[in-house]
Amino acid sequence: MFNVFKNSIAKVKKESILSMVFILFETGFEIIVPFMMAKLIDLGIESSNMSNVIRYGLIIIALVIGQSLSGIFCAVFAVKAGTKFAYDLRERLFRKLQTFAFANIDKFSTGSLVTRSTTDIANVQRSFQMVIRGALRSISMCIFSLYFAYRVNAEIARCLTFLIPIIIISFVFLSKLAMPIFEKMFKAFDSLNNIMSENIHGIRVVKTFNREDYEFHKMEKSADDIYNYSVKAESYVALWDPFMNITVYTILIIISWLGAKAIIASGNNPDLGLTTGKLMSLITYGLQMLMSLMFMSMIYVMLIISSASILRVKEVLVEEPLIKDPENPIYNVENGEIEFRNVSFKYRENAKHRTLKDINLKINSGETIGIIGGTGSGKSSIVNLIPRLYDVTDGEVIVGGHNVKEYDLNVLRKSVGIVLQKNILFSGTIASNLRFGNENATIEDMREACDIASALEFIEEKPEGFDAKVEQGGTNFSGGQKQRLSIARTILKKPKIIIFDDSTSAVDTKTDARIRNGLKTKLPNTTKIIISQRIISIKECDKIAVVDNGRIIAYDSHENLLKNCELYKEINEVQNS
Amino acid sequence: MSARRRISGEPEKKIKKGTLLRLISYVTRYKVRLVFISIGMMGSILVNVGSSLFLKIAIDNYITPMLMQDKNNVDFGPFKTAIFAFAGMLAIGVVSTLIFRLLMVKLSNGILRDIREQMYAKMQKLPLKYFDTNNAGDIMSRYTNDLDTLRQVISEALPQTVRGVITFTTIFISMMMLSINLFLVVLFMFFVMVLFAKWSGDRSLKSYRKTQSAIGGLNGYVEEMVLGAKEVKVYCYEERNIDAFGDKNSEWAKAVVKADTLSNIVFPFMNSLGNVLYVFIAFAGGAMALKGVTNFTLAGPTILTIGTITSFMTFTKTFSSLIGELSSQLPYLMQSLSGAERIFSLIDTKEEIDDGTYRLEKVGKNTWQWNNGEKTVPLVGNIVLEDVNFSYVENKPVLKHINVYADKGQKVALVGATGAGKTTITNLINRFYEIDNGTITYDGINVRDINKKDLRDSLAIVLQDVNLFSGTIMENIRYGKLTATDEECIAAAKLVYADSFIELLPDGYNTVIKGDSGGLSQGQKQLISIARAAVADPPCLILDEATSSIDTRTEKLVQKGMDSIMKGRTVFIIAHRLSTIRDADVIMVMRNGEIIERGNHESLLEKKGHYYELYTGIVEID
Repeated sequence: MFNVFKNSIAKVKKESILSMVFILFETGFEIIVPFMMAKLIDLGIESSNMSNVIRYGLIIIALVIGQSLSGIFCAVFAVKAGTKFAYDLRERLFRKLQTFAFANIDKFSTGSLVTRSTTDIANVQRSFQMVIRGALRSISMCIFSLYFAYRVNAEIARCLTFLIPIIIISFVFLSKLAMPIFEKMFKAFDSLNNIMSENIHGIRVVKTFNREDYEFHKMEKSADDIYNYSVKAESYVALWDPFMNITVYTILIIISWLGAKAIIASGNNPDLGLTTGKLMSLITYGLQMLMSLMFMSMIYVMLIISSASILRVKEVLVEEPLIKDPENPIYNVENGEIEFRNVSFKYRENAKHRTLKDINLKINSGETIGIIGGTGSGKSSIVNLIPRLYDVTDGEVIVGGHNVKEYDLNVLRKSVGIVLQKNILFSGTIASNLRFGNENATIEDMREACDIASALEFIEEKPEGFDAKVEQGGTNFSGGQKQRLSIARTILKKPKIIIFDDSTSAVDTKTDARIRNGLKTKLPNTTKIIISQRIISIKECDKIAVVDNGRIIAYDSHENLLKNCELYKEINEVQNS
Repeated sequence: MSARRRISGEPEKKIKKGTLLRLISYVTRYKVRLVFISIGMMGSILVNVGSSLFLKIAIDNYITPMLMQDKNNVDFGPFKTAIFAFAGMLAIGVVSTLIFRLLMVKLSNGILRDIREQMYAKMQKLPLKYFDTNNAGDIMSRYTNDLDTLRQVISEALPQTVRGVITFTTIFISMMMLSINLFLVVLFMFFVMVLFAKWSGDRSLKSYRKTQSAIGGLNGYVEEMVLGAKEVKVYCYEERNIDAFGDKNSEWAKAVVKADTLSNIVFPFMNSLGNVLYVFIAFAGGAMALKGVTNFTLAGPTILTIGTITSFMTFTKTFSSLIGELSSQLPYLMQSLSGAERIFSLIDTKEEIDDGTYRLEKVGKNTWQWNNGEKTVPLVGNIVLEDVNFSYVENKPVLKHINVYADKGQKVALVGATGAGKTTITNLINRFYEIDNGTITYDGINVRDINKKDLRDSLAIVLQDVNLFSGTIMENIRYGKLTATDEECIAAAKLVYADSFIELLPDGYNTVIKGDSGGLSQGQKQLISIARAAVADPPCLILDEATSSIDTRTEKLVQKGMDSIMKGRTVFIIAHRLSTIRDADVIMVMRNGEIIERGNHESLLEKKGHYYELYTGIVEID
């Protein structure tokens, strides 16, 4: 489970080791302190020897200073180690995400990837810090305490040793009982959060249908579940407290009973055995041991709780990118010629139905091709195969004379521009969004591209022009504006092939025509593929592919299709009636 | 679209004093439990403090006298009795702890349930404006983050603080019982520690805030880039993305190192101060014992015995560890209080007012009437807007002098660019928002005089962004009318052509839709939501871009069903695709909050005005 984190851990080896060394010093000092305190009481106070009081007092203060210093150094290094670890892990995760193919992203869903790379990773970091700071500290504390307890009085120390397994077993037992209930509780929380989030987002529906009471009862049920599970689970945890009390008190009684006997036997003479002062330090050791055991158990619980997060982060880190660069890639796309040879495709390996079946298509460089078909017919799936957003299940996709799998991915994708159906703009400025496709684009380049995409008019209306602010997701732009910016962004890449995946659906017909015209005159040598639901957007294309149910049922010019293709005719009639 | 404005980043306020009191008022509702908890807590604390006194008693009263006895014939009897008595006392302590901890679990979870339910019930009553002006994520975080911190405060920080304060008092009194002289030394150190805790607390809070904003920036970036991951691939942005991420990541790491180092240094340092105090007490105690200085106690002046010094020193240790604990709890407590404040602000938000007196009542099969106790009016579905003005924000009018007359059975279409005010009009009819002036009447009754629930029962809205709820498809259709039978729901689905794809799903109508309605396309969801409105069977229907995601061919197929749904009802249609509204009885063309043209399709085309421009695609509609 922890193997994948090895690299990140290795990077903080130095800091981790240093912090552990200082932990040893710190606990060492901390343990010797009660030892000296015992001397202070025995040789100083009990024997009314003020110079011994001062001597041991000063020794203790010196030890305390040493303890503080090592504690501080330990904190410094531990924090460094923990942060560096998290830094590295975040970076690895983020880098990994960059290598994911669309299919990888689909597998996890973007929402889950966001959780994994934010919340989950924070949990992993916390666990790591807990382990390097807490685990060694409590283990060494436990061992040191026992060692010194043995030195003071072996018989009593032996009794303490017996308590360790009892404490550990009871704790594990309690948490084993509580864990499944905690899991149920978390599930109840998930369902409650789901209900709430649906309610907030669907509040118009709730109010329209007057379902306030209904919604409340739905929520009440979840709230009751949470209450019942939390009470049950936390009650087990609450049992831990009185149990700890019993253990502390038992230690107290054992030590005072056996201690009293030992003191009587030695006559309270430090040279002969146990003394009242040493009795005090024994109790300190006993309690310290107990505290460290408790702390260890807490770490254990923390690890269990965050194990789900650890697992989720791990899943991303070990995920193999489904699309990778070939071994000896081609670094140049000759031209914009495209050919599909007997291509079939399904999104998931175990999917029953193929999304695309027997696709054969030849597009010459510089041609303009239209693709039309109903929702879910497979139009987008066809074009997604060209820049290798997905890989074919069977058959071949050839671009510029080579199978797309032979190209370097970056080279291929720089040559094949695609304007996606759902356009996402990023927070920043219009310019930063345009440069997303080509970081070296000059203002002139951007003006030119925006002119072709008919975006220049609304950009120039803005007082800040290209520096106008873009909100996350581009929420401050209308659908049509977002589409035009996305088109410009793709043109700026200067690709050999441009694919428009229904990317002018929110643009009015006149602007749409202007964009098409601009593309035709300004980018005559670029291969253009236009997916649309509107016949008007594609009728001028050199050829139009009609897609139905994952197959290309016709591939011809507008005029011929009107004559020969029933489906095309039908679509045309609906749109022109 | 409605005006969705986000009020971002509330100004940082100081925590109101009332918040804590208000929080406590939730606790005091459980009087009986609270009494038992207090008793249990007291018992637990007393026994705990007492147990540290036991050693003094054992040494002073038993071990030292036993040392005086003949070494070979020591009488352990009295000591044994004392130990049994001690064990008995400890048993009481254990039982008290058990009771108080278990009751505390019930209490804290009970309070949380109360608050959670109160918040949720409240949320159902808030006006729509609240949801339009507050970000959904912000509202949600009150239920998740804020309630969670509150949970920790109520179940951990609060009891620990109370326990800590009580223990403090008990220890201080016990110390003064033993020696006021030594207590003064403790008091001095106490102030040093408090000062240090305050100094470091302020600092760490400041740097903690910095880390929060750094992690916010980092997570925000990751979120944006993960959500836009497909864009990143398509535009080959990966390398630059990693660089930009690296900058944010380093920034975060720097802030964290600073904040965490500080807060982690506090603990060892406090610990050392505690140990130094221990030594000081030894010095002072030893000197006092040697010099025979009078030892003042609450019980009067005595001599300082060895046992007294040792047990005083034990108290000192408990005292120091307690300070450490409390000083780590306190900043946390403060932080959580600001969460509580956000929760209370939701609870305190003004509710939607419903003072309408006209109620709907059934007077026969499928016939209803409005009744306000004095007058009855049959429910027909005539809607009239006269000279309506409206603004979301004062002085920024969104609708100006709107007049609409919609009679039963009529189809009224609203057309215009984004922001022209189409959706706003529909939001006013069912009183999601209240108009500034003018009148809206339903069957001749001012909508202000109609009970909101009944008004909304007589109107159904189908929105562009479909919200389905987790559950089966059947349940989602039935949402429109909870008493609808399966047959009614299926009939509605058939009407809108949804039946064919629903039947193809693995479990048909019992297919469970989850979260993001996985598997269903936006168009399919729109069909379900139309079926949901059809089941509700209201006299008036508002279709706000209800078929926008359905492709033209399917729309054609659905058309017949839609026609039969709309038949006999007053229907308002907002549509982007003008082919959808061509056969409307009247088309209102809107621009900048005004109706600039009205008429039917043919007459508007003839006019060659704005509608003509939109229809022929000369002007962009979006």
